[in-house]
Amino acid sequence: MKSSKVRCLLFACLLPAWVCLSGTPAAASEEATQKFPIPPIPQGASPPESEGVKPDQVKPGEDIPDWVARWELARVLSYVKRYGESIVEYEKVLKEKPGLTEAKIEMAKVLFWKGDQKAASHILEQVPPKEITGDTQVLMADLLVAQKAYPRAEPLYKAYLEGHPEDQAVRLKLAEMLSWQKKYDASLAEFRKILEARPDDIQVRRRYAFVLIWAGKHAEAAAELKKTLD
Amino acid sequence: MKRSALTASLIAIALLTTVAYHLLKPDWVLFRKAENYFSEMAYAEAIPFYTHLLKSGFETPKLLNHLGTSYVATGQFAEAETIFENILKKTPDKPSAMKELANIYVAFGRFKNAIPLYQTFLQRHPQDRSVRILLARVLSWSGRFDEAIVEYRKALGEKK
Repeated sequence: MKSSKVRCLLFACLLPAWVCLSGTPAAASEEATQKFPIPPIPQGASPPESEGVKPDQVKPGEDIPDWVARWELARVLSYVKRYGESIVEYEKVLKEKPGLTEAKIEMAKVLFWKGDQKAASHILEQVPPKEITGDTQVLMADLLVAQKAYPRAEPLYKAYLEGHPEDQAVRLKLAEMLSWQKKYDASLAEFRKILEARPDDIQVRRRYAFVLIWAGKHAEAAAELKKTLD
Repeated sequence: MKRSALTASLIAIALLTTVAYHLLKPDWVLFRKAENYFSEMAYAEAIPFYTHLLKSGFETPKLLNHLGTSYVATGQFAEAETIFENILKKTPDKPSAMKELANIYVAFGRFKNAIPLYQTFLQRHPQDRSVRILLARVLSWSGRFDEAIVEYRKALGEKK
């Protein structure tokens, strides 16, 4: 009897309080505030060479893991040409995440800029061929050219140019490399494509003229050289 | 007989108190509704309640903070910016508002505005490594690479 009275009293007193306070769990709302996602970085807001965040690797509201911060540090160090320090950081990242192909490729680039072509080549050889695309194809080809491994470099340049036919700088690399292999007709064909895109490029025209000379096409070479003097 | 009368009167008191509360404190009732939505992360539903309350002059720091957060969650950054700037005008030392406003500035690419906010936040919370990494990123995006390196090192617990 007594206990049911107490229950009724409690019910009566707690009902208004429940109505007022229901749905305001302070801890829950606080948690929602704390876990609130960091706004994404707008496209194009960062300088081209500093890619910064990897939004797909860090979920909103999640703590940023050390290896991600270290990877970003490695990149920033490379922007200011502190290549040695950058490589040390890449090594630490790859020690923790050995399967991180993107970091391997970046490290190879830094090694290349540092002038350590052998180490860069060694790193890139660990990258699965299907992962070597775009700029990395060019880097790999450049490294192979430095080792005079021209036949291995050629398909890489060509594969890159299929996707980037407007990249005349890479086409020039291919044209020159073909000339060193005495593949004059193929080389001259590439030079012609470059000159079609850049008819006023005197330097390219001179190189073209030299390849014509090496190919025994002296009259054509003279005509091209004359154009560079006009 | 006595017992049932007592029970009935207690229930009546409870109901009357509830009704009276709704009549006398309608703003608080709306605020609780908004807070309900907010805690359920139903930000779009919470916003009209918060804005209605603001228009009627019901303004608390929590309401402003949650409204700002709801705006960010629903991608209404301009509105969120106004709210958090308002909070910081009233309470310049509010770290959560500093962080949120800095994040909004970053979303708009206004890195110059974000940097001092993150820096002030870190003066009060030097151990917050996530914010330090955000600062490092923003410094990097601003081309201030050397400063970014210092912040990354600090975030990684290295003094160099």
